[in-house]
Amino acid sequence: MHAPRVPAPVVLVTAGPVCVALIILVAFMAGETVGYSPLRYRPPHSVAEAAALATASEVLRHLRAGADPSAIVTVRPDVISSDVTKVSAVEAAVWGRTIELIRLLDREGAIPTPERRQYLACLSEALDARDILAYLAPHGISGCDAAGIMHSIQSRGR
Amino acid sequence: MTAERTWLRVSYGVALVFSMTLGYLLLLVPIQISDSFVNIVALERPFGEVIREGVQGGYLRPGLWGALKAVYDLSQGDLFTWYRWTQVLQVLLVLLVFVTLARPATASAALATLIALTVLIGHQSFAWTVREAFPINTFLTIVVCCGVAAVLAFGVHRWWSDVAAALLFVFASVTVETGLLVGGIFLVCYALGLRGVSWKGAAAVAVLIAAYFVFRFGFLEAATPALNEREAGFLFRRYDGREIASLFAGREAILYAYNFVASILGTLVAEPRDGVLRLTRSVLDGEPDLTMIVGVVSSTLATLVIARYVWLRRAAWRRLELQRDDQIVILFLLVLLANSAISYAYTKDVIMSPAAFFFAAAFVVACRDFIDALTTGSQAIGVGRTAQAVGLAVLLVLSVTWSIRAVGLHAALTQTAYKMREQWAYVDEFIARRYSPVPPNVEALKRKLQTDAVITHPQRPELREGLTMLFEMD
Repeated sequence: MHAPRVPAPVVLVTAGPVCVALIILVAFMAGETVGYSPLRYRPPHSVAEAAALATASEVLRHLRAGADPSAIVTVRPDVISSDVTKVSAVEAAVWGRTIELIRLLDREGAIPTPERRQYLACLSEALDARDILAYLAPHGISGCDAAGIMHSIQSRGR
Repeated sequence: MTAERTWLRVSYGVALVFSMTLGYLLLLVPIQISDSFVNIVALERPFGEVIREGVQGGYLRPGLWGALKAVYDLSQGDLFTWYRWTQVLQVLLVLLVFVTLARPATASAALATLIALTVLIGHQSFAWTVREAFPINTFLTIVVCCGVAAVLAFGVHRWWSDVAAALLFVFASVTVETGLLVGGIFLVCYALGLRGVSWKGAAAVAVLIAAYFVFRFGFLEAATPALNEREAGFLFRRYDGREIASLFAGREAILYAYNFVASILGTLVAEPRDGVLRLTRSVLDGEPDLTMIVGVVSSTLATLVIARYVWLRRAAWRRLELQRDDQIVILFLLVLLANSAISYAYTKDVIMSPAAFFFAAAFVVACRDFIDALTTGSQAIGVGRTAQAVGLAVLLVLSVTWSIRAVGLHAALTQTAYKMREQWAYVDEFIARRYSPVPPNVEALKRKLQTDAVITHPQRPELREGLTMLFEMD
């Protein structure tokens, strides 16, 4: 069978975009295989960063690996804010504003005492995270110094 | 090596690369919880009991349950690896079967196949055969079966072809209802003059189709779905079962006709989606959805290229002078009608995946003809430069928009992996809603699958937002 030669412009407009797509996909895959993923956001570096970003699966992975959800660790300034760079995972989870994550941390034993629950409820009030507040303190809280808690957390990073 | 073989091998090579890139991302997606976890729990029972599960409540799906159980047993507990690799294998099969059916033998056909592979991968119907991470996605299984059926029918008859046709139909039809299309494909292909499956094979399939309906509606007394069983899209939004029942009680025909037309239009012009006029709604809201525009432009243009081919071949079709290319296009048109008819009670993009497969196959034929016309025209004297430029522009828009959609599916798979993994972190809430108390076997399975999803294969961050503005991520 003799087929006419396809002109270069036709080949270019037809195959060009698909080939570019293939190159992008193969490069993405190859990059990921060797740990280079510039097209993705940076992964959380700690359980606190994972909690602040509300990435529950990473929180769970860190917890199962033995991470302490109450330990105060450094988080990057772009994760919560430049004023809040030293927090625990449970505190960061309140900033993440995901009630399911708070429940998960609770199930995993990350809120072990009534005092701790009261403290986090107060932080929820300070951040106006109402559904988290309702979960942690269904009957309301008293004696909460919201401004003091915020000041205390922010001062850790100074 | 002849030129024909070269182009065929190049096309297989591209299909393999797409299988590899899709496969890589599919292996990052954990098995989903909804519509899957409870089914996997059921697979712990003996084979016979599991098969009986597929013949209950008016359903006839022992093939689905048999496949689930077979892979479950073979996995010996390593469910993530075995089920996800099954999905990868299915994608590989679909793409290889597609190239086998397209059979590109010239440069123009290979170029058409190149774009057609993005049409297949980028089509919204195909997208949901891979994004829904069931242990085995049976919609994709049916696409494989439909493709194999067409390859058998278009191929050379061999001693085993008829038996294979009958077995393929039986497996597909008892896997999920759209598997009936496999029988239709054999019969249509025979009627179109294809003899890859002989009259004996076609007759056997016809008898089996009749037996299916007798068994399903005679013995199982399966009823057609009630209006309130599922949510459905209608015009500008989705309605839950109760709303649908109140809207269409006593005038079901309106909903059924809408679903039929919506299924056809969705496949051809990518609007509506899942029965909802999403682009139209976004335009009326004053915020046109860019991803929907890409979808509508790409699909409409591909449909116009196919329509051009049909128009040019109309005289030959009237004389029943059908070539292989014509047979592929006619098969697509009939599968489109049959697939849409099956979706009469409930339309959803993924149900139309067999039609999408043949849409891409028809596109190979039509696009090759279009490229040939452009090629011949460029060598002829007196062909206007404007026509040449328009032709090139059409090919460029097709190639660009469908490439965007094909890459978009890959991006969407990263999103699917992210969401599914997050769901596994919260699986306790799902379990608590369904089991009280939680049986030890359920707890053990939960821990195993959660560990697979969250610990063994850790979460990877999402793609940066600015990169995905052209892709259908939701």
